[in-house]
Amino acid sequence: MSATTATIARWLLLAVGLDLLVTRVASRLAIFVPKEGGVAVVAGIVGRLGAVVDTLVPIIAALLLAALLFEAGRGPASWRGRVGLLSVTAIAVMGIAGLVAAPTPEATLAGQVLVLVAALLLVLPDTGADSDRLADAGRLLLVFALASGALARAGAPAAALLARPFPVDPSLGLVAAGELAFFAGAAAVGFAGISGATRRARAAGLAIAAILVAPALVAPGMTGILLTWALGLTGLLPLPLYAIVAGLAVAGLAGLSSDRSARAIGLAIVLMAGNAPAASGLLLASLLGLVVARMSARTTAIADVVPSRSGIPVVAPPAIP
Amino acid sequence: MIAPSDRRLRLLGLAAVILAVILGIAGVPVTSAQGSVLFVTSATGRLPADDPWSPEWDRVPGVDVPLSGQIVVPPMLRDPSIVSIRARAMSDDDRIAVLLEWKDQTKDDSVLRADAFADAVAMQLALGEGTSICMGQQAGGLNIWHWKADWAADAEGWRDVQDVNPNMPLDASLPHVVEPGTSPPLGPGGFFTGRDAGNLRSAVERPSAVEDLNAIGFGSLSAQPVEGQDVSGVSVHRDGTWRVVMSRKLSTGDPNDARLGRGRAITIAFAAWDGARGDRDGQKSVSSWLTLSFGPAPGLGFVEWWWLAMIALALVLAAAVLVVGTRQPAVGLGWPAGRPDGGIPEGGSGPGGQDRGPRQANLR
Repeated sequence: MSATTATIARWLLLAVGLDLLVTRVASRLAIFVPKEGGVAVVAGIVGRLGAVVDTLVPIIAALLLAALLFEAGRGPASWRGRVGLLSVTAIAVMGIAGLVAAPTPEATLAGQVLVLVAALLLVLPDTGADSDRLADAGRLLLVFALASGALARAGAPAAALLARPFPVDPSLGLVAAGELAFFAGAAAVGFAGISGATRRARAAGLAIAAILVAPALVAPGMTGILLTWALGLTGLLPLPLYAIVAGLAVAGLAGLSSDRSARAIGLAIVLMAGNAPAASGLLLASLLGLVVARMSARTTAIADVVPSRSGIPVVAPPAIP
Repeated sequence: MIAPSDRRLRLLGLAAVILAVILGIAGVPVTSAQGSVLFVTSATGRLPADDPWSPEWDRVPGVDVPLSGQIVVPPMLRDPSIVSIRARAMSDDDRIAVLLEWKDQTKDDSVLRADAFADAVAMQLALGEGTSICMGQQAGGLNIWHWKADWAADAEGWRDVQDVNPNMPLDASLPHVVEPGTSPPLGPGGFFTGRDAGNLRSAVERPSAVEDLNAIGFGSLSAQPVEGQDVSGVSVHRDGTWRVVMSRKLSTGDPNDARLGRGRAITIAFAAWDGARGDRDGQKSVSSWLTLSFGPAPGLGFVEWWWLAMIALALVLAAAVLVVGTRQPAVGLGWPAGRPDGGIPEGGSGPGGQDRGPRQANLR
């Protein structure tokens, strides 16, 4: 992955993280707070800030997509990588088109099929994949979660096109399966990187788990609704388990980032975007996170592309899986 | 020293942030919802708005909408009484009918006892962009269609407190039966103030079992005037299942009514109450937002062409980048022509050195 792409991927990670904290948690937490005097002003500021961050995510995602397209065109990229990027491009455009056009069954179904295509291409093994099977398993589980959400959403438009309901509606089952896969994927990522995490990273993970367990025990209703709004998780499992896995994932990602920054960045983007994201910007970010997570583990540092003594910069051609 | 490419990248990032700030403050949306969509099916014949169990509804695909307890504002309901609603929608280009179906073992259609609460279901339709799911907000209100089982039972035959308490003592000066349409509307001594004020809950006769309301936030729920009550409701409870059909003309001309029709997509959500479990007011099971989509307007085709054109353009551009990009070496990066190992011709420096072939380099 080139330095430019790596930098933009880090921007996307930061944007999605801010979106999770500000747009999806803080501004929605404000719903539970009585709006009086100064509190109303603060809530308004948080809400406006959330709107800005929510807008930043798809913009940065579009930049990353453009960078990946240029990189794929410049270097040796497999046909899977190219087709996958084309699918993601179409999904990005459909997300924009959805702003001005009412969704039709055809377009809605096509969008979910594209997500499935992209997910399938991302599932196929990367020729340059590392040997960390647990991390790879985590990545595959997250791909499955995304695909499961797309399948669940494909049911309604498919039935509308067939002009008949299905004998059994599998959507709720698919949503449940996707959530379990997302949970397991986060746990796998955490276990994969925990051994390489520093003591400070482990302490941070523990602190995050403790901070999240408390509201889960004291105010499970509010925590559950925030879990749904923020990460698209319905709370199938006991809420404290989500808190524990969140802390584990934070520590694990820190451990993975020490030598495999592309994978850590990509997986972090996917986890923070949430399970089967409904917003087109977060869906795009999630797909791009999976693309980045599959890329060559070695990130070309910015120092590697400074001009040589001859004045002509030299860099090894990047590899798109 | 910052490399030129690094400086350009930082400027690009700054431009992205500035653009996000401008669009965010201006309220320009850049993301669309990819969530659940309830597609409105076109009726092939007569719209079965008066028969919830019509076989016509069986051919209409719907969506199963999961519900959760309302825990945002008191009175709250932590665990949902009703876990899901199945929603179907049909239209004949004049009216729309929405069928809501859910499991409820008991038919609770009376509120005549102090501890009795009726089953109910509601559909809220967003009147603007960015409406809060929690009963709307100032910047974006809601139009709510609220069906009540007790109103449906009243339509079949008016009942009063004495029907559940036949031996209750009555003041001889108060008629316990007031025939609809009799005057004075206030009754003897002015005791029917609610009816005279036009309160639909007090009314003996109501236009429908569905109340048409608006809301712009918690505590702002307001019924539309009697003349604006234009949502019809028909309901049947059978085999532990409620089926309720709420229908309305697509276009009413009322600014407080949601605008419906072909080419439109409107954000909706559902709420349900189980009277047997004491659900009332904010103690309800609620859904998240989903989209009610009517599909494209007939004969126009703009929607389809818009989708196809955007996707085609994006794919062409992306493919061009992927294909054309492979025909060029990395500009400013990579190896000069004829020197794939990255070596530099002797004496060559700067970008001009890249354009010199091996012969030219050897002549130096």
